Amino acid sequence: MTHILFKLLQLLVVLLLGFVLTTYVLPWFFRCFLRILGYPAEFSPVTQKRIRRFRAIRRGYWSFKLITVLFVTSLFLELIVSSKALMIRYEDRTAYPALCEWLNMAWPFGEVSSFNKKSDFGQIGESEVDYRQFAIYAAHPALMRKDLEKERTALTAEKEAYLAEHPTPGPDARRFEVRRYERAMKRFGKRGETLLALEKNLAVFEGGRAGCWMPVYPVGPGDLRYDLKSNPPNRPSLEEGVPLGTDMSGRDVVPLMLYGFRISLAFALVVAGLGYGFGILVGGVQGYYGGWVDIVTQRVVEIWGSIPFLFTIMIIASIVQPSFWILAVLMVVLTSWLGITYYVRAEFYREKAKDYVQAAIGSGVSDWRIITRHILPNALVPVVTFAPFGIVAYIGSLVSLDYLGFGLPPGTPSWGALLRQGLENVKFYPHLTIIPTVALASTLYTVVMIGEAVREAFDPKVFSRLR
Amino acid sequence: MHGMISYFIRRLLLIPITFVCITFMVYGIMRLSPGGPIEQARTQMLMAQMQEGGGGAFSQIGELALPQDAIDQLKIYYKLHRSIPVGYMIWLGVWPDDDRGGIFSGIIQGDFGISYRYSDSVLSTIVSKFPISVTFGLIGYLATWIVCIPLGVQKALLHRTWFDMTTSLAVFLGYSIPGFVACLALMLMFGTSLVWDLFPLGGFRSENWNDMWAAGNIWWCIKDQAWHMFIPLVGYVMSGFATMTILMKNSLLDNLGADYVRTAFAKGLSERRVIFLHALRNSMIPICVGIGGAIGLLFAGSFLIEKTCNIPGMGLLGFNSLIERDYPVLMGILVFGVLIRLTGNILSDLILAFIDPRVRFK
Amino acid sequence: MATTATTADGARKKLLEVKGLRTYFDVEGQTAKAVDGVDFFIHENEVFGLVGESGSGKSVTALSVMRLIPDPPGWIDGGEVLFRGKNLLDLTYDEMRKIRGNDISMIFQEPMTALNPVYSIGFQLTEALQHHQVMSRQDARERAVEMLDLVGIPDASRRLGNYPHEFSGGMRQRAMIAMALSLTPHLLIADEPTTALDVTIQAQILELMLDLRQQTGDSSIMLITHDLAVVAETCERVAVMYGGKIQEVAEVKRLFTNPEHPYTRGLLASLPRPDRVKQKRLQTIPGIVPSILDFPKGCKFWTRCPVKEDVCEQVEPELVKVEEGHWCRCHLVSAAETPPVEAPAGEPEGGTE
Repeated sequence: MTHILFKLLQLLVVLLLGFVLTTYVLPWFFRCFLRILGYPAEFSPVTQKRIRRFRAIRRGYWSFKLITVLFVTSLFLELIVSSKALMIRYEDRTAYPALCEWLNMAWPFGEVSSFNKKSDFGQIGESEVDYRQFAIYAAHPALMRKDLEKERTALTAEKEAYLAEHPTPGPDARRFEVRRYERAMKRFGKRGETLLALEKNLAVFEGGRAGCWMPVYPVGPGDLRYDLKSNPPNRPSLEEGVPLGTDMSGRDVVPLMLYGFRISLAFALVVAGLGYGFGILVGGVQGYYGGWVDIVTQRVVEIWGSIPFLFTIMIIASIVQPSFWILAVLMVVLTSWLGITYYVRAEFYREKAKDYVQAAIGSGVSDWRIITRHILPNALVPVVTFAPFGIVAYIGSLVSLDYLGFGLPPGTPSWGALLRQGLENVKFYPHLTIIPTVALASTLYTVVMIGEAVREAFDPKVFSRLR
Repeated sequence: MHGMISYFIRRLLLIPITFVCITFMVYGIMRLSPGGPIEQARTQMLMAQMQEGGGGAFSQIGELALPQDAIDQLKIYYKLHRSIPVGYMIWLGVWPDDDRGGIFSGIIQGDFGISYRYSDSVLSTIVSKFPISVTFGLIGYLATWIVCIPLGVQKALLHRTWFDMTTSLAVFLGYSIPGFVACLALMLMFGTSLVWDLFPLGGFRSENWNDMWAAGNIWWCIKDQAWHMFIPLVGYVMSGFATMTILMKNSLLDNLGADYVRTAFAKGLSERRVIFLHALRNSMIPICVGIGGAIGLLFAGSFLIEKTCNIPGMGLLGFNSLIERDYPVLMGILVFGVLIRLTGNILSDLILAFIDPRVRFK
Repeated sequence: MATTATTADGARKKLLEVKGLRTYFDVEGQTAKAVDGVDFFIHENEVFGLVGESGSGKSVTALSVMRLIPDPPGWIDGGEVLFRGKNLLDLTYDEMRKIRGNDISMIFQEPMTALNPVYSIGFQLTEALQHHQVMSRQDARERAVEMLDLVGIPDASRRLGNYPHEFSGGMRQRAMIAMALSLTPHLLIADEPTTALDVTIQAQILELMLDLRQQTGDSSIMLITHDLAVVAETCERVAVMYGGKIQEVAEVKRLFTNPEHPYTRGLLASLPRPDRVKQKRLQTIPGIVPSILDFPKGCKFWTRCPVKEDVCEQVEPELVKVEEGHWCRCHLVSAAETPPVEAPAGEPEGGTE
């Protein structure tokens, strides 16, 4: 019981961290960023009014809070859902493998090793420490004692049984018998040595000189659930400790869903961010300079827009296996920058014709300053209203590509890939369809709610009914 | 009027340019990328050997070579021995193909090449898939109109009432589930015994459909067709539903607040006449403009839904050709896709010019 | 001064009488009292002016008479609108529709948006005719041509097929007038009919309206404007509105020569008067019109009034009769029969540039 409470507490702390980051730290950063760029610290009254209106639409506002907090929290997934320990201590040796893993994700330019050898932590072998095993024994040394006892009895019994069947070869024994006997004895000896070593560890564990702090859900996205009795895919079962079951290769669905959430949202944000940035640039240049620049670019945009983008991405993906960034850049180049240019272009045309901009031009203010200070804030309005729907579309595209098998590399936690497995097993393993569908639908629904609220806040429909 | 005609002529002239740009780009991607057709043929051969169980191949994966004449044949087939622009122009049909006696034979001449999966002409393969995708597209689009226009109007007239709120929630839920996921979920619920085994798990028709048709059992055929088409159709229309309903609603809301509606009421016209004759006509403009764009969808089908529901339309053909690296078919589908999309754009402009007297193209 | 000089004999019949009209709007959760107790009447065969700054509630008053207040966000909270003795606010919408266009018609401020862009002028002209009077399409068409001719649109029969965007602003307003008068209404409400037009066209349109009134039968006109010059030119009686209330009603001559309300005086002082050579600069009313949501308690005008007293801030004055046919809503006026102050007298603190 205390164990579960502790896990809940752990989860709560991470969520709280995410909440604090989203509500206080991120806006602060945003403000600093604007300050550095030279914008006034406060929004214009019109924007403030829009923000107030957005907050008044509770459904959208809470959706926004929910999704940002969840996404920011999901940036720390390595510390919540992972097979690596947050902290592991054995005698005087301490390691933080989950933290290292997180650092590797957060800072892709350097590598911190999160690898810990078994032999360094009282386990036998040279591979990575089995943290779950370690954690169980560290928490319950009695369990380890029982296991060791079992192993010792088993060893003795096996040895006796062997000797009963194959008596110690005498001097007249044939060579192969001797060799067989020696090999068996060596094997038993090794097991005995292991046992001895483990018994020494038992002392360490019982003496409280070892400890292990596992994440809330101690299974990572790439880990196969060998501890389950039946072959994958496994149906969800709380008794066996797989609340959402496993996929066809035996990976636990819980981390797949959670990491899939992060990757989908991050992908959509990257595509939207890059695409809108580029789109604003192109649309701005078109609208501000006009003339032949506009005409030529407009033709290019039209031609580009006629490319069937999903098809083209699939062709490219069938030739080179795209990574996250390649896929994101492909999406940006092929679609996401196009739509926004029309609006930004129109907005620039409109704003440029206005008196205050003409006055600024007339008084010799530089183009750059006019664009960034006067026109851009207005041109951002369509961007903000479109972004949520764009994000829905890009998450949908990623899921579609993964579903068709032309998306992220195999092994990447992805909702689309799980849906494909769901299609293949629609008759017998419904959980492979239901779980990603629910995750996808609820995520997209939340984002759509935000989008609808933003639209309503920025462009409130005045309902006037005459009779 | 004169300006309009010249505008459309210019738009039509832009089609070939756009077409060439796109197809050349995709052709170039296919040619430039590593793992082109020869590499693919090599892998396929390797796979075949592995399936045969020839253990020897494992040691020499890297060195495994195709017979030289096979390579030459592939090279000639894909024009790999020619530069990319020349190869492209041969494919297009504006450059003599020396390997076939210097004839001009390409897209322009209607020669799309031979599919090596179906060993049939690409054109007939593609054309044979058209009716299936068009059936879905057409029925789906009609269904969208029939449901969404009245629903949008009703929502606008009952803005912020209980009816509006609940339908909004439902419509947005539909929007947040991609069509193919909806198909999958529906197949799970109503195609297996999970909830109610009501519909088939994919397929376009029953296997004995053609026999029954030949036997004149038309009623059975229609029923069977509808039975198979229900789930994929829901997937087809789902996301479009939300877009069109909300577009209709917002458009009508905007127009209900317009000055000319007040004028119409001031003339003493009935509410029905003002809403349905004056406001609705104006709010239909943005919706009708979407028809052109929908044409593209009509013909192109959908990879996702056709794959999910196993419907042998254009989408599934494209998908399978990709998997099998059937490049002639892929290029053929691209050609059709782009052409339809471009004509769709022009159609949108035409419709706009037809229904909105204010529009003047220059 | 346009038509017949009227004497203040009470025998003239009232065509429209508005009593205590209140029209409120819901503005983001707050109630905006756009029209808050308006009383006035219009005689038969009279040109009546309703003057005020933008936001004073004059347009809303007119729309309330037509019951064209969009609901939501607005509603008519109370009062009476008696048209030939019948309270329009009691009618059902169906009955009201028979009056709109037929007995009362309206011309709007924005000729650019007031016509439906996707129907031809001819269609929009004839539809009301066919709707109210059972008329064949051919008859309606003939009547429409006749009306377009009357309002001075050349080649009328051909232009019937044109769409609004093919007309200039002035032409559209002419078409609007043709539409409004084609059914010979008893009352024509013109809501700033000339504001959106060029100055040269403005005079033509006004003249046209007055001419047509006589040609198509004797109807009354309620002219809503912020332009006192237009009022002086065209109206017989005039009401001045401020803050959703009528502040002063009088015959035009009297109002111009003998304004009682400080607001009216301010308005008149801000008019250019070429006959006064000595006047160097125009007077303005200090301050701006408050937002519709925060008009003050007491007299609506005291925040800008140059002669306000303490009582003005607390108590709303009543509309009192100053002389026959002349009412005014001001504490200072009701208190005593103040000697007429010379209208645009340059009170030194009264004006800032």
